[in-house]
Amino acid sequence: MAARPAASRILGEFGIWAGLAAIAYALSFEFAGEPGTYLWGAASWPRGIALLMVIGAIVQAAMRWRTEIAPSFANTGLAAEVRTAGVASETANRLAMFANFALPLLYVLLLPRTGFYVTTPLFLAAYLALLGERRTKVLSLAPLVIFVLVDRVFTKLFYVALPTGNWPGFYDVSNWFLVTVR
Amino acid sequence: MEPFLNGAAALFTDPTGLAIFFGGLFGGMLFGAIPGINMLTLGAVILPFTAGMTATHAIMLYSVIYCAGVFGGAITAILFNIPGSPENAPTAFDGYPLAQQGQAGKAVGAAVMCSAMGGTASAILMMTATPFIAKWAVSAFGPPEIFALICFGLSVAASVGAANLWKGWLSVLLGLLIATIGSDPSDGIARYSFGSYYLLAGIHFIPLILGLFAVAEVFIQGELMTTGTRQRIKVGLDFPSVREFWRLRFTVLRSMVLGFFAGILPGIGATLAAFLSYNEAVRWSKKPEKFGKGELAGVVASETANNAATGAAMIPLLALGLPGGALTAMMMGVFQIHGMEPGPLVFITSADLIWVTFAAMFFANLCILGLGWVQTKTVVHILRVPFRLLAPGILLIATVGAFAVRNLTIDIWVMYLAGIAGYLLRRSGYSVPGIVLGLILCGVGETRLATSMQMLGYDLFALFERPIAAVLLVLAISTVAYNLVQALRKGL
Repeated sequence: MAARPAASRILGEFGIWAGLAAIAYALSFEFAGEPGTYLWGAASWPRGIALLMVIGAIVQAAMRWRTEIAPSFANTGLAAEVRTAGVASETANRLAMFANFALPLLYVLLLPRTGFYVTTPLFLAAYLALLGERRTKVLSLAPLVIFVLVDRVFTKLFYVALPTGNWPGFYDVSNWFLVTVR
Repeated sequence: MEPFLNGAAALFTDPTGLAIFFGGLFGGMLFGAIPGINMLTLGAVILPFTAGMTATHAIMLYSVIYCAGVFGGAITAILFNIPGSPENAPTAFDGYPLAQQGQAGKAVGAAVMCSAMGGTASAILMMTATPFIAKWAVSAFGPPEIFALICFGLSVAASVGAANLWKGWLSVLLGLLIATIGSDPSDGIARYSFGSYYLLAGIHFIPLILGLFAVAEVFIQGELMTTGTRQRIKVGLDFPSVREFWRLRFTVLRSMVLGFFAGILPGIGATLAAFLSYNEAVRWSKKPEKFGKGELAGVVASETANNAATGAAMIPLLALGLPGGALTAMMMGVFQIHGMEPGPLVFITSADLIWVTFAAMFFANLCILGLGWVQTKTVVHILRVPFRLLAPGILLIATVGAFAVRNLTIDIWVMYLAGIAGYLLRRSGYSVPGIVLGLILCGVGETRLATSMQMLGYDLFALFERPIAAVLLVLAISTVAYNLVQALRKGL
């Protein structure tokens, strides 16, 4: 029974690497035109890498097939499986992991629109909560301290102009913060 | 000896010079430690102000910033997996796992000691042999030799941090492939840019390493926290013992030589010095499989070499007027602002300036030892803060750091996507250090291969007609062959 998921994992991994190499190779035709000063052209180096990648993917798949699909296989692979074994709720964990990725991406998506000054404290509080912090005092004070420290260091010391947002309202709040609070 | 003593006396008896010296030292350390803002940012910001200084003060300031800046990023690399500057990225490969194992003090201590030793030895060599070494190295190492050196470095990159050799090689190849995005180094032809101006310049290295190291680490630790399987890190404040250093003496010496040599060569510099030295530490180790998992020799190799490169980088600048990297190019600008031309004559016409600069670099490295020791006993305590409070701070610093590079939100996207990719690749047994090694060595490798082929009439075998290149290539091929045979024997 264990051989089937192992086989699909091996094939899936091979597919990703071979696919990546194939895409890189196919796209290289866009810049493989007339050579300039360098006669081998701009495409030779990436094509060489893509070729080696395919060879590496084939060899890896073959070697893993030999060790993992063989009946006496000892190494069942990823340590991650061991790490998450015995945990009560798989679905809850998956949701938490999804949020772990999604929250920062949502933050980056909002950053140019709602601005650094509005979005950051909310993101920090949400991320703290995601990591298991439940104390109200910590949830309200820690984001503030982190935000003020990072803001002071980067904007006052290094003059980094952080995004103020471009959505109506948020832009005004950011500007109010910049003019009044600072 | 006398010119050095005169230079030291001139430095310590001049209050303005001393103030500039310490300003450069603290500024370099601070800027070096913060991702996205590095010593080059500081160098660029203060460049206009150097017109109001004497030439001696201005050049001395830049040389001190160089020494301190290269060291500064090691602390954040070890404690939080956030390399402050690219030259500290290999320090994180083993420094962070050591911190995770409760040996942060040991890792920071080793970084401090080795940075100081590498930098001081390099400063001494720089003082004694500048004109001779510069002439030899620049003439002996042309593009074919540098290409061979890169191949030699890449040949061992696959053994770092991956579950097996094939995953290691695929990681390195992924790094090499990512590095091809942007403009072709020979003719400037756009590759994989999809018509985007952002991609024309290539994917910036800093958001990428922030994502692969810091963000991926936060995701991994976040997963362990949400699944309730994370164990609290013990905080160790032990400095490495004399015995441990003695055990690593050959690594230190090798890294000094390699760092010094790489520093002299134009276009190589401290970053490549650190990566190549790390690779050599892996190659010469009896237990290469331990690298990437918390091997002190990895920290030692990287930090010795990157600081050894600082003094060496001054050699072609001062002796030949040939800047090898961005900061030395800024120094060239400082010389020009003051109406001077670096080169062999500068040792005769401006001997005072040269020896004050040499003395300042020497003492800056000694100061790193003192300040670093204090850091080992203090900064490491940050690790006692619960990770759920540190994690949002790390993400925020990384976010602002990535944005600060070019003030582009797309750099933050790159960082987070690299973070997710890094998380998935690490979970599947691939090597983040391998990817970074491929990334950093690709650009120089391709450029030097193109130039070599143009020089040698597009005959690859002509590389073997040049003795240094031939030796390096044979060693690289032998290493790859040996690793393949070993892997096949183990059935991996």
